[in-house]
Amino acid sequence: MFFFTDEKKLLKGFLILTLVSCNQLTTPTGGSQSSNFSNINSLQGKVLTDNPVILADSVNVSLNINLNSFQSGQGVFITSNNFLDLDCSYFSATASDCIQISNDENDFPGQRLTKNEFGHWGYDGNSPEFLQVNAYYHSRLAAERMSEIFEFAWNDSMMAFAQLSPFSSFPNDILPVIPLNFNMFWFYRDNYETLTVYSRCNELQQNAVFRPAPAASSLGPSICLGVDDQYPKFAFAQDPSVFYHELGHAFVHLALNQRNENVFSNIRSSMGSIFYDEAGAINEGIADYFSYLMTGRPFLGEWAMHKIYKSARQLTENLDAYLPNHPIGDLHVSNVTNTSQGRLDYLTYLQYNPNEPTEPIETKHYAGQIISHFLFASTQMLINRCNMTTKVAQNNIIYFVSETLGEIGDLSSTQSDFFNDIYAPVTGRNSPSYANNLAPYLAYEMSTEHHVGNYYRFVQTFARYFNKKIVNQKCLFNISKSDFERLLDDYGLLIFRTYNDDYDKTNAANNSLNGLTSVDINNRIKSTLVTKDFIRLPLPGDIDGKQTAYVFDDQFSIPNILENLAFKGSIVTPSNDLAGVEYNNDNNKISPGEIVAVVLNIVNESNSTMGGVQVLGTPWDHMRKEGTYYKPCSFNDFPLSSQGAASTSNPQYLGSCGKYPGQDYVDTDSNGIFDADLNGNGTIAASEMNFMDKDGNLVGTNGAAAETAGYIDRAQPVCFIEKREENETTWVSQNEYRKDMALSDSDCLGHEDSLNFNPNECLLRLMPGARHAYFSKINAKKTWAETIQTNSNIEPTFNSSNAVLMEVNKWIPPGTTFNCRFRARFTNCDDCYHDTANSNDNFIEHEFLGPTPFKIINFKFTVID
Amino acid sequence: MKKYINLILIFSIAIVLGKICFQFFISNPRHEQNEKLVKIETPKNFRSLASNVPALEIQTPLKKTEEEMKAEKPLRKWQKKAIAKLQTIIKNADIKMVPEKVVKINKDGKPYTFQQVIVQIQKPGYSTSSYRALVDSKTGAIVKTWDRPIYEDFNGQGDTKLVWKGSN
Repeated sequence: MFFFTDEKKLLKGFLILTLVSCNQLTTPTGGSQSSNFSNINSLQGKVLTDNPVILADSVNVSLNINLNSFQSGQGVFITSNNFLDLDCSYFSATASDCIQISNDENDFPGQRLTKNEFGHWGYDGNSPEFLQVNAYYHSRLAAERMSEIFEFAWNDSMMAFAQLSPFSSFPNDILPVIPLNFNMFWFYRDNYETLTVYSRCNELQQNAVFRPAPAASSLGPSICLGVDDQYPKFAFAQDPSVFYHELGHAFVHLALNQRNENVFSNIRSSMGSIFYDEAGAINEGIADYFSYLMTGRPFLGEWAMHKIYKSARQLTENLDAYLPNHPIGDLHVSNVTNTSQGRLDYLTYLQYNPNEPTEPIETKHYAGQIISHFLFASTQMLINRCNMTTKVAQNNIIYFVSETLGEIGDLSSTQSDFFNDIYAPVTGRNSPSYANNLAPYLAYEMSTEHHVGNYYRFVQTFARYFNKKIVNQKCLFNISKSDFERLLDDYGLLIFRTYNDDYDKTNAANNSLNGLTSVDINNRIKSTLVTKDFIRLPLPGDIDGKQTAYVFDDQFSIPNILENLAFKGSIVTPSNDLAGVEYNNDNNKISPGEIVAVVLNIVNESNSTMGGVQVLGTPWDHMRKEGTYYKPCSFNDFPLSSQGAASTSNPQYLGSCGKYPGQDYVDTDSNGIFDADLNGNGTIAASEMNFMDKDGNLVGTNGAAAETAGYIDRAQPVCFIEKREENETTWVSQNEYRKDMALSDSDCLGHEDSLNFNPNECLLRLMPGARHAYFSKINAKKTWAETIQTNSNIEPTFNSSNAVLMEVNKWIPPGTTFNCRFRARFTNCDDCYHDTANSNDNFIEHEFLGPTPFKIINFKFTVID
Repeated sequence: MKKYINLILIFSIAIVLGKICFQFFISNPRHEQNEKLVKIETPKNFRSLASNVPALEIQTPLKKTEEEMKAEKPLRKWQKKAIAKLQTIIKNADIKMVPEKVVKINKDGKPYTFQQVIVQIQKPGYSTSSYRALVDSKTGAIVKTWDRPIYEDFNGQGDTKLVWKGSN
């Protein structure tokens, strides 16, 4: 009592006592056992330093085992904070509360874990409280690693001459003195956001999820680690390698959006759509690699993925070389080895599940193994050939990944601050000078649909940075360009012809200080390139008898797909009262009012496999406005001018066929309204627009001048209609046809979307969230179904990623014939990304909205009642 | 001696207050107050979100009292329409649209207003799905989405299947 010598201290003691009484409310009553934690202090707790299979060194460890036996022997530092939240830093910047841990997302938000009744963070290894402490410990390690990666990236991008060709996409200020203007090392939207980790999501069965948008009680992004009700003691949070994989998705999101702090409406890029695509596979491969960065083990999921689901993955062809006594052992089939012939190469292993190698499967996770193996092999190359430590080698590789993602996800379209701020003005270019993803207004659509981050774009961009930094600087004498190209080829990824030093900006290599760096074709042994001409859509009556398309219009699978897509964020809401699954009649035909899934039965006519086959039903520049209506351009003599094709030369009309200029999304008069001429009818506020020519240079802000010059042009929906009249049959736009039918705007599909409504999809509309289809690979002389199905006697089963969804207006007269002009390409295509007629330089951005880099696929059908 | 008596008194009061505090927390259904008291430092982004959005439109899974429910502003028309549209394809789901900001875009010389929202969908057997969207203020149509979730589906065999049964 002697220390309460005056009133102030008495009051202080009183307050402390009161607060402690209140705080104990959040302290769990169970879960801690004082005898197990006698040797730890008040800042410590015990954790699982790895998953139980690794800690037990046995795959036979039971899913019901008492996890106390695996807790770290000594206490480890947890936190001096009152709650499980931590700060993240990047040089002198700090994101307060960057990560916080909670139990279940359905707990009310104020319920936060504090120290136990003994005043430390030690909890019973089988308790939910322990999962939170464990998640916190591993979150802190991962956050520290991410800071380290971004600091390494900034330092490296600032090295002498590092700014120059190729220009770093890493955000920086002009003068490389101190890091400025980089809030994007963490989730940022006016302020830093908190990533909430829910260590036990009881509603989430057999799953884990990374959510960039706030969900449930989180106010920022979150990770939810699920459970499996069949195994009550099991939780995904017990496996750090899986948790690190989820944090790897968070890293991809950060790297992808590093240039997007100030983009329109705070939109953020994403890597991958809902269902299968290569961008999603790359995202999974990088997340696996991030797990390796954290655990040091080229293997993940020994506990949470292998024990129950037999779905673990490794990152090397030769596990024994790195983990000779691994409790599960090498998952790969014997053909897979770390020789040039045996690498996990693109094409051969796109549908390969090492856990069930005889059953081909199309999932992002397994296709992503090719990227994770390639990144791991590149890391080993740096360790073995450049005398780098493991950590330095990892830092270099993940830095190149970060540069690559920054470029793919760039919604500012400027690609490089240095390029934009110094190089472009000095070389006489206007600023802003768009080099990437066309222009801000369409950058999101470009990077997710038209010029998507597939294996071609990812590997070519990664290789550009590797070549610059490793081959030409850091490992000048020990790794040659050919060495690296041969490694790429071992993985079947030497599918580009130049390093695209000048980006996708111009027809000539005038943006590069060193010209275009070409790939040595002698290094291309395993990688195959195929021309797009070998893509074919069978037509009725073709000699091989293959059907043109599979049409699904039942009332079971279509609602399922719609629900799944809408739940995960795709736009597939039907137009009110004009179409709906209630009209679906399950006759495998396209009928008025239906919502149908269409799988185009693409045939690979070549003698080589095609990988990453993509069928785009997105709007593109295939029509030209003449007078009141758009008319279809003629490609490959269809349609003929006598059949209604647009004129190709008349300058009095707007736009062009296949030349698509960029457009900015601007508010030059600062009235708070962003202006756009979204359907390209030329009725715009002239003072509001920036127009770019095909080289990305600003034409000016004068809309009228741009219009006169023929620059105004807009992508148009893919389907148009056959119009039969007494003496002639012509192909016309849907708008023209519906005007003949006297249908008003409100009778048109999509009329409720005032941003994107286009009467040229009044009668038949590709649903915006499902208008492109993906096939992981199609073998030589086969269709996708023939490729993936081991039994050719049964009817094919398709993934929803193979289909596009069409909405059919109920007012369409039966008998109406449509032609939908899809565009197709694939990843190992020799004329879909680089222009053989132009030194193999990549096509410039606007070309990806036109016909040139694609095979045009005409899907013609008649609507049947 | 007097000092010791005072001390004992003060400690007793502190313990009683502590218990009252405990009772208050347990019995009071206004969990928002729990949050404010337990988590003393409010995250910055909460302040940001709250400053942009009328408080009653931040829809969280918190349980509310009957009085609060009555006092709550009704959903706006565009919210109702947008939620109703999603409910036609996502059955048995609790769908919320949390407004973030208003975006105006001029098209063909006419200004259009859009709501930037966070869509949150809870279905039995799933965790909450969430993403950002632009919603047409007039019609409730979703016109753009981003920040979509990434699910692992550890036991999955790929996407939803379309089984061909042969042409009818």
